[in-house]
Amino acid sequence: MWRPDQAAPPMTEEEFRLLRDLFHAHCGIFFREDARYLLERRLWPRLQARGLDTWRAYHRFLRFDPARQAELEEATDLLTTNETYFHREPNQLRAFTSEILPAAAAALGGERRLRILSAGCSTGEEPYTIAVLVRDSGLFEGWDVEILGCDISRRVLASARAGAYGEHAFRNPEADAMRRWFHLRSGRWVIDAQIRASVRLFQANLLDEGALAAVGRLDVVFCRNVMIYFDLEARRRVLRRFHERMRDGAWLLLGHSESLLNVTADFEIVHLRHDLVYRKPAMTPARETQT
Amino acid sequence: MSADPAAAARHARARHADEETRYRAVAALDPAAAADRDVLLERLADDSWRVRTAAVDRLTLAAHEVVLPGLLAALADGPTPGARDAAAEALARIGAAAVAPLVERLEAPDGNLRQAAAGALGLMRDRRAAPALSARLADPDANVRAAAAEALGRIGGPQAGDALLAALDVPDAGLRLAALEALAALRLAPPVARVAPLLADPSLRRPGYRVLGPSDEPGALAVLARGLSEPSRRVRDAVLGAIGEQRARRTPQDLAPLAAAAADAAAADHALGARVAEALGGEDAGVSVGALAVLAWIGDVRHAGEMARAGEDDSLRPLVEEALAALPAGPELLSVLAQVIGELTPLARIPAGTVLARSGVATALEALADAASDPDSQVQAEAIAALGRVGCARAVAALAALLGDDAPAASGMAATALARIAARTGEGRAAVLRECRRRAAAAPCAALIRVLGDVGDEADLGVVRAGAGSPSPARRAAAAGALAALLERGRLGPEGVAELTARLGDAEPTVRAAAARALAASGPAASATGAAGAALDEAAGALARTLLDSEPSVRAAAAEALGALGRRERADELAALLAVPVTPAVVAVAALRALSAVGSVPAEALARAAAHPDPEVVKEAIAAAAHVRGAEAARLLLAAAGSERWDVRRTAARAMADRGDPSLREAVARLAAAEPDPLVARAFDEAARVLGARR
Repeated sequence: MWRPDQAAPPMTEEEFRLLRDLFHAHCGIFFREDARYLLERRLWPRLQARGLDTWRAYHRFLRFDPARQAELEEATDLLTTNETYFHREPNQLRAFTSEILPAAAAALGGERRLRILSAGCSTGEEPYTIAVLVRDSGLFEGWDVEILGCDISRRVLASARAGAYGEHAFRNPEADAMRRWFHLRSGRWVIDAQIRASVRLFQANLLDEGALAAVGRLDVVFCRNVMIYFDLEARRRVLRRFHERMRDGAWLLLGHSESLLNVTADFEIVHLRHDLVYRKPAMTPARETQT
Repeated sequence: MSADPAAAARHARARHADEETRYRAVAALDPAAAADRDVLLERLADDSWRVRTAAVDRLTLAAHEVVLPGLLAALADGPTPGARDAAAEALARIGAAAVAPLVERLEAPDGNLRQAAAGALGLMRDRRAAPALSARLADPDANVRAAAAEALGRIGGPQAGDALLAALDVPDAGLRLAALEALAALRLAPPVARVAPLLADPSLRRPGYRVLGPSDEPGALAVLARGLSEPSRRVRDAVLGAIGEQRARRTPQDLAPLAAAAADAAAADHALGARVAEALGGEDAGVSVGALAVLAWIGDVRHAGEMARAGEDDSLRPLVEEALAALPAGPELLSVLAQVIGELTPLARIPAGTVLARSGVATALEALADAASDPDSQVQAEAIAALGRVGCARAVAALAALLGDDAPAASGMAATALARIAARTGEGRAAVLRECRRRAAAAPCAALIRVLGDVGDEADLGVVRAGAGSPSPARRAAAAGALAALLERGRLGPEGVAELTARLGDAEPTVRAAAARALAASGPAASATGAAGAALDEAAGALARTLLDSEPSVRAAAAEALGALGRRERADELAALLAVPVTPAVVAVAALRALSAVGSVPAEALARAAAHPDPEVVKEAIAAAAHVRGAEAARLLLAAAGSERWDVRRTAARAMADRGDPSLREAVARLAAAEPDPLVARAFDEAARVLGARR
């Protein structure tokens, strides 16, 4: 096979599976066959850094080298980092601001408390976008509002906490309006302290039983382009975890290429004006008493 | 009506008019209880997909023998298509236990049942169903024939492949289409002479072109070149997908006729480039790969911007750089790239920036140098590798500056990039040496020592030896590797062996292990000179003593070194590593490799390793057993072929092929036919071919 100079050595199907199984055992993330390129591209620098030439040698390093634990964490970090930006998937965010937030404001007016989770929040663009949208909606003045962001990678969380971004994070035209919540310092856009304070970031492996133990009742869950990393069983576990923490009628927003078809029937599809989203069905008192 | 009021209430809720109520009730039914099970089977026909799915989920939790009759009945007589599909899904999930009854139903008088059974068997991907499904390709019902072809396309294997190939010759156009699609799914290319006539039928063109992707016949390229002029976008995408696959299979020389034909086609049709560029950014990365290759061949600079944008996809980035570099260099290309580069993501800027930097655009080189220190580790890694590809003196300076980086990842990558620049040209080597020596004089560090070992000569021995005596373990370990590299390249005499042997006594385990690895790497070269005999004997003695080191990683490195040095007289000491109750896996793997390398694997050590709890040790034992004579080793391979782990079975299949023992022929054929995992099945097919068990 012909490869350009310094490109990653081709990963055979067997090598891919061995590495896939290793990462699955380490952190529950399951790479499908179409992720072989992702592993090749993202892990090749690790081979170079360790002075290794083959994927077989890298697998052996991850299994047996005294430095394997540190290497596994480095590699997991690289594999789970998604390039992201503010106002990603604007149609869904329009549905969030024009339909979901008003519905939540009406439903939760009694307790005046709103909890939104950004699961797999990476370097923070998503939870900060949500925080700005909630604030700009003007619907929750004086409410107890908390935006939560979690990720498995401590490295990306450190970056999210720093809250400093390059120009490219604003590449979506809809994100321009967010700039007023940032201050330009040494060429980086730094998030405003008020917005920063409304977002609580924490490390969590979504597959862990206690991952969301410290999270109260959730009203909206964003989990976009995260479950693509999980196998069917892991997806079901993560969705069960969300389901347990969500109040009846709470909303679940997935990435556009993701669907719950053949994964779980715990959520119902809702056709909003701007997008299709999922919702934990509300068990009305009528339903409970009808039998 | 159930006599149990609680059960009656449960069942009533499962049949309630409200969907959510039914869903929650079904999800709580117990499939082990007959009355609940009956309700679950009934709910397979529910109007709501959610309720049907919940019923399938519950039914597949019960003992298979209990639910099979009901599910098979639902497959045959379910009142709605939804009910029959749900039953098929549940049967597919049950797997092996459902194969025989489903195969039986392939002979049922009812065509719908035969079709449903074929669909369920396809979902299962169990090779035992292949013969019966192959027979259904001649079913009187066209839907059954197509379902059987689709199922064979999921199952794969030699029998499925043969049956699908034969189906290309039948008069039934629907079956030919299903067979072509199934072959494309299996990446099994029929002979070009059989595919080419099928392309006369427009409905067969898309799978017909796609199936030529994995073809090794030179004639496939001419057919694909003609396909570039297809008017339909979907068909063209199939052509590009196949070209993408061909590009990965063949060398540029082999692809030259296709490249020339594409260029001719573009010369005759000026809109061809634009039509090919349309395919970039689609969901199928294989199509984009083909489009990039074709755009590079036709040299149409107007589409450089779209090509650069394709670099936003991780998997395409190396190809983007290669395709951009193949375009005619000149002001037009530089202008198009300079226009788009600011709009690209930081990662996508790297291939475009590399092309610009290679063309001498100073700002592009500076941007790459900046990106080499980017806080995003992926941007940093790709920028460092890109500087290595640019390779000019200013790129060398930027890379050398990273060698002292606190982050070992950055310095390690920079060292690799510099070594590659030096290996490419004499001018590159001179630039790397100049820069590294200048820096070493001021502040030597581990990565610098590594580069000097890979690239340097006698003049660098002083720096490397100083590193060997440094207080820093990282520098001492790097120096051991550098001494080995210099020895291997003939820049250091046999005294280097003694220097490395002395390092086996270092206080730090990482240094001892590095010294053992260095002896393994350089020993054969030192041995070839004939002047290092005594030093190598001494090294072997020291390595044998190191087999008792307290650190497993050091013991493992010493064992592998003895194997690399071919020290057969140390076989007993190596075998002794496997004689303890549970040898650490890293040591066991190394001991087995060393014993195999010296050609002396005792049967007892092999048996003990094959029973090790770590699968990596088991696989090493299986690989070693391939070359060990006697019935005991053959039995070990057969036992491993029945392992629950796919990787152990695959290793066993390969070992059987390596062993070449005709007495395994029948067993291998049986294993190939029954293997459920396609990757492992291919290994057993190959073993069967080697042993002459088929054709």
